[in-house]
Amino acid sequence: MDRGMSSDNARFTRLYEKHSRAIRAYCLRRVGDDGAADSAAAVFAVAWRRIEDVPRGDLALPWLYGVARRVVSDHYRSHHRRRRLSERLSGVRPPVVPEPEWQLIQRAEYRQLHQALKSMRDRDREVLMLASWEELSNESIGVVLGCSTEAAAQRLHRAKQRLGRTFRALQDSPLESRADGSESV
Amino acid sequence: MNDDRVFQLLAEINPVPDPDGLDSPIALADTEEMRGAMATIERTEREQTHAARSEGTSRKRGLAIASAAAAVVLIVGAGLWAFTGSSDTELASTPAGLATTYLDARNNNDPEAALAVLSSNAAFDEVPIIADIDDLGPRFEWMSIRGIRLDHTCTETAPGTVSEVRCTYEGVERLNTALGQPPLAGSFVFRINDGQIISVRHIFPIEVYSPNVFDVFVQWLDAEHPGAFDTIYRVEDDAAIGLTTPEALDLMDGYLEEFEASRG
Repeated sequence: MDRGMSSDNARFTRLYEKHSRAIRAYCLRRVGDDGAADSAAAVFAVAWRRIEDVPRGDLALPWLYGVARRVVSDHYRSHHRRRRLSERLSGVRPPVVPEPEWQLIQRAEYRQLHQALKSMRDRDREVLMLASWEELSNESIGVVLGCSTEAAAQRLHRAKQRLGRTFRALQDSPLESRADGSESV
Repeated sequence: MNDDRVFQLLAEINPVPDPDGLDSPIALADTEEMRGAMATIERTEREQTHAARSEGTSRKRGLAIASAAAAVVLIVGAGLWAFTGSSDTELASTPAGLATTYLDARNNNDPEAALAVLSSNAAFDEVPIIADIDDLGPRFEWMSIRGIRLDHTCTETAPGTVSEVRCTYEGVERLNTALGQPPLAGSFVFRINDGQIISVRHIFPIEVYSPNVFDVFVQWLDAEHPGAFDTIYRVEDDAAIGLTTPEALDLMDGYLEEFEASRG
């Protein structure tokens, strides 16, 4: 084993020990139990392969989140494809699989907020979740999304406005109480 | 409830509020399995490096190392994690698979994935215009804001040293959807040599799209925001090309949102 490889091994080990829980949590939040483990494994496989590209210090975790974002996107895509294929083969709509956070949605306003979040565009939803659930700074969000700190701040600001508008519209909607039953199809 | 309060409420529906409470990872360096797995990876990398040098197949090397690294994580997870991908990997290395990867990357605003299958001097004849490979990232971001998503099917139409792949698609984007127009339809032709895409040609019925969709948006923009056109487009050879600076992208996003709202 040469010294460079040994050093890479040690660094990867430290990276995994320090951030594996955060990456698993990121994947759990977005794909649920069914797929989070595979996604987290894939993130660290990329980190191992590209260990020299992983930034040192505080930006390592945002870098890993950036990889996780793409891995989760691939997961959604393959899941969607499998579902479409299944639909074609069976001629019926697939069963609706409740998402993990669904179990937590008990209060009416939580349900409305969850509904509002789901109705947002991917880029808005992601920036909101990075800020709220992963508790990232604008600088770190910029690293994850591949944009400047200022652009990340702008995106977050606009996404907060859109979430607020959508949430309030749902609160005002008389159909809200029926909406959550069919929304997750 | 104001925007800040709604945002605060978002934290309360975090499905994993305490990552520290997740199962403890195994201390990698302290396990026999980890040492064994690392040795396997190092051996694999040495072998693959040698193979890559002699055969020029660096892409395969990377994939083999990725698989080996996945094996490490599998061990680390005490058998709880499964990593698949060999069949996907084989599929992705075919000419049709490479074209599919490019279009998936285009859909997912993932220039890195696209660059992995493009030759460094790939030629583009794309709509919207991508002048060269350096434009890819900003242009993908622009397409993401426009909400362009293509449902595509790729077929290798001309095998050979330089093979050709044709992908047909139906797709959506925000303007088209807001106006209730039928899905976009078009095709791509890729030329592929030695496992890399060397050219991308996009065949798009601009003569249908422009009067029915784009011109309607521009008329609305001129009426609602006189002068705004020049902040998000430049005109070149009678073609409007979307600007990709962060400011222009943000403006475009805002105008689109307003246009969508105006259409109910």
